[in-house]
Amino acid sequence: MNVAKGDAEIIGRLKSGDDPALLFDSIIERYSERLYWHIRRIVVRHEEAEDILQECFITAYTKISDFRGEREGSLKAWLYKIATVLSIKALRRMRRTIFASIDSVRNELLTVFEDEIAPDADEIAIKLQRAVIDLPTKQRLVFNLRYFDELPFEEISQITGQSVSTLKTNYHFAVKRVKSQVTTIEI
Amino acid sequence: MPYAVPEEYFEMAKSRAKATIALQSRKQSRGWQHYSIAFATASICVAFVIFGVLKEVLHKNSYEDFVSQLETMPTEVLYDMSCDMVEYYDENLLSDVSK
Repeated sequence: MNVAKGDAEIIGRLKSGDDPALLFDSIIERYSERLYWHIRRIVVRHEEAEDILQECFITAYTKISDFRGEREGSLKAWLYKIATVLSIKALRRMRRTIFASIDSVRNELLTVFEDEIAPDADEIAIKLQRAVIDLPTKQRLVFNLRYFDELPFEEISQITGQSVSTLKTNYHFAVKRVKSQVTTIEI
Repeated sequence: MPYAVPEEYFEMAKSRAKATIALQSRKQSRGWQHYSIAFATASICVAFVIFGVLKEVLHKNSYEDFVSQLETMPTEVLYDMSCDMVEYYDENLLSDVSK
């Protein structure tokens, strides 16, 4: 099988009518790991992230014939968008009542995080992650995508549907809060 | 990342995702097969129904035509026809029975 290497090649082959099922092997190879980490940073629990990752690929597969690249942006942004929507849905399911804010699951996520820490994890990374989980969801999302995934604000805007200026403001507040939290913990 | 991940999880996840997509792809193509079979069956049924209805209508029409012809026929012709029918009955059907 002829495996597509880059996003441009995958999109080109999709447009020329190639079977999406064959192209999906390339997409899975390219994006599994980073999508997993993106989802895991939102939902924290491994099993949840595992299920969402599978659901993300199935959703992408069933909708890829609609993907044209012009409106959705890059293939990467489109996949991240699907993963983000599914992860936020999972957070909504974790709420105690349907009227509760999505930020109300923070304490639960922090509790789950304590059970999910790797035995050999770096202490600073643990502190940083605790501070990130404690952020409001919007700030957490933009912080994760900018800091860990190193995505440009334009691409984050395609994923979250928020304007670049709003994202920059959220990121600014997120960084400030994380810094203060990490410093407080160290003191 | 400070998160615990099972060993060789990513390789396993990739294979699982690929298998899921392959299954999904097969399901979709099988779905189309189901649709085509259902469509063909439905078409055949509809064709049978149309054929039956047409046959019935045509048959009914020819029968009604025959009855109306009989009604308008002169009595002599009807008498001749009856004689012919009796003769035919005697010659063919009764001879068969006697054999």
